[in-house]
Amino acid sequence: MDWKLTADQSMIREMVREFADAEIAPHAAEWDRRKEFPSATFEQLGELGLFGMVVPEEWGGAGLDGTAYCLALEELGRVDASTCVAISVTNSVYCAPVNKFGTDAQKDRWLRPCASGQWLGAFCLSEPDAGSDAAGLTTRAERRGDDYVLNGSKAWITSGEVCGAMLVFAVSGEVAGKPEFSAFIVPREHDGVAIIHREEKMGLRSSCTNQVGFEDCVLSSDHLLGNEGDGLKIALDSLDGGRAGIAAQSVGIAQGAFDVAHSYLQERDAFGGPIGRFEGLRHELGRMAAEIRAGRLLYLRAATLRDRGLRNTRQAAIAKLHASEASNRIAYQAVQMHGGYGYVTDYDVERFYRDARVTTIYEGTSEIQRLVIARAVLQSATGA
Amino acid sequence: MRIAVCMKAVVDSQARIELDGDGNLRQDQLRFEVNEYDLYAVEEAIRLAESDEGHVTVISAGTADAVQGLRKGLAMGAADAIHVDCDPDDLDASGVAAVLAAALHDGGYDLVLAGVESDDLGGSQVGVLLAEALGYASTTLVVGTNEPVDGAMQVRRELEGGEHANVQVQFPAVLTIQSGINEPRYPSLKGIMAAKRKDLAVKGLADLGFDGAPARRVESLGLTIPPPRELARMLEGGAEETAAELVRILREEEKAL
Repeated sequence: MDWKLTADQSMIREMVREFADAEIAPHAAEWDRRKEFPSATFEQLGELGLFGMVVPEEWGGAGLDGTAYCLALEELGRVDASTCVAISVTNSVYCAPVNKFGTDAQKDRWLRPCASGQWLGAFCLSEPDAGSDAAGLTTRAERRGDDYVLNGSKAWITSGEVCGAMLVFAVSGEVAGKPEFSAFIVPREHDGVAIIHREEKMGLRSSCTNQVGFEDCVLSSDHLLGNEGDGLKIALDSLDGGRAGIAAQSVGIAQGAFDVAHSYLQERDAFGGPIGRFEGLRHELGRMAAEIRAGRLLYLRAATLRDRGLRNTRQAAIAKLHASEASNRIAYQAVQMHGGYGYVTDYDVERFYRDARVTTIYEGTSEIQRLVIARAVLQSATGA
Repeated sequence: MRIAVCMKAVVDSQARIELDGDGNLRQDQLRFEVNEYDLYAVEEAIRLAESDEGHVTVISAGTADAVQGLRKGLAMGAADAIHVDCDPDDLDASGVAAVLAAALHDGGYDLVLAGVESDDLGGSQVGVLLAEALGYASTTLVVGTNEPVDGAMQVRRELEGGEHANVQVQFPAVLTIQSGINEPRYPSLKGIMAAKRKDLAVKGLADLGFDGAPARRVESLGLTIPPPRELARMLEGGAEETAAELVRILREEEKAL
């Protein structure tokens, strides 16, 4: 496999890196402290084409491949995981499924404005009482004449209160005693949609995470994405695409924490010189560097497969599992290297440590990733 | 309005500079990036072109390292690019100006913009020498432009000390652009993807009528790194004592007070 990036991929990474360093990094700690969603910065990100990176140009997107998309997410994650997650969600679990399963009329109405940067998209699958257990979802979409009526509530919705539209999964019927799911595109301003509250979180504090309620929300049938009953297929396909992105975000967080620790080891003197000369810390730094590089190769592998039109369920799960777990170890160690300074907000490692924590939980927990990987390797003749 | 913008690949300002025993730059570890002043020139050209449906060409003389900058110019909004494929180490400033002039002279440009200097060698010569080689008017250190009127443009120049002078320059003209004239845009993702569909012409020195590189009349003899300066001096003692000593040093030794 050829790991040399194309000229486009390199230039995209450089542009996002420059933007991240100049426009996001200097403010990220303050946004985090104030739990402030940076609307003006998101306007810029939208204008630069970061809301619909993999959407074809004819629908207002930038037409990137998934590899370039993941490189962009790593660069955002490196300075601010909060900004990164909203970008990841709008791209991989809103734009990508609407692009893949939507009709031209749906794309014109609900993809083009998002992909061209006018508003963010959101993804509503989990519920207060059902996350990994998708079969336990209770939000219902009942047929009423030509319309559907949505009732229920959704939890952990990234960008809920700031999005323009969301993709909502609901039980639309029953087949052989099992619930059947369908996916609906629902504008946030639609009657019957309510933002119930915003979560107080350990990390990703400048991104909005909401509980969203649907009460007698009447949707005409043109809001249905794909066919009735396609919901589970659409959700799982979206998540396969999203996981490589979360792996890239995790590598970014790890790289951000690593960079701060790397400088600190050369700046901080103890026992007569910089602490980076101690072998114990060098062992840790070497391990951190190796884990970051491994994570990057894994997400590039997963993204490249998908770019070639191949299924990447196993590779995306492996990338997400490794990168998210590694980012937690690395952020932990970066805090440790800073001693007391790692526990206060003077250095960014404290924020990276809090932000890393969710990466083993969202878009499929580590436990779910292990099951996905195990199922794939048991089915495969070649194993891992 | 037709505008050309000269771009140069310069040594990355973050790169660690090391010299070999002969005073030559160790090339193996060098990375190149676009000269920052040239990005101001590209931005200014695109803004001028946007307001009158103009055409911007970016041009660079150099090795393959020059292409990265040209692609960035295209991604920011230039319409096409010319890469004069040559080894810049073979050329002095007048040589660079001569090859750029050969590539530009029949392009019908009203304006040629260039960064006021390069981030690495800082000679500030190519723009002015290019004007001479093309027979164009020239003005330097431009910090503001205006809409062209009757084949001329009023521009604002920065003077020593920060004052500005307004001058009127007849087309065709070369302007060297000072930093801070604008805020260069980030190339959008669409711009980056569109850049690869734009025309990037590669011209060798032979295509431009040269028989080999124009001879250098200014030769680089080698680089030196200035000797490290004396380390900071630490003053010992209590606040009163050290303050008094600091005032004495500033007054008597440094003559700063």
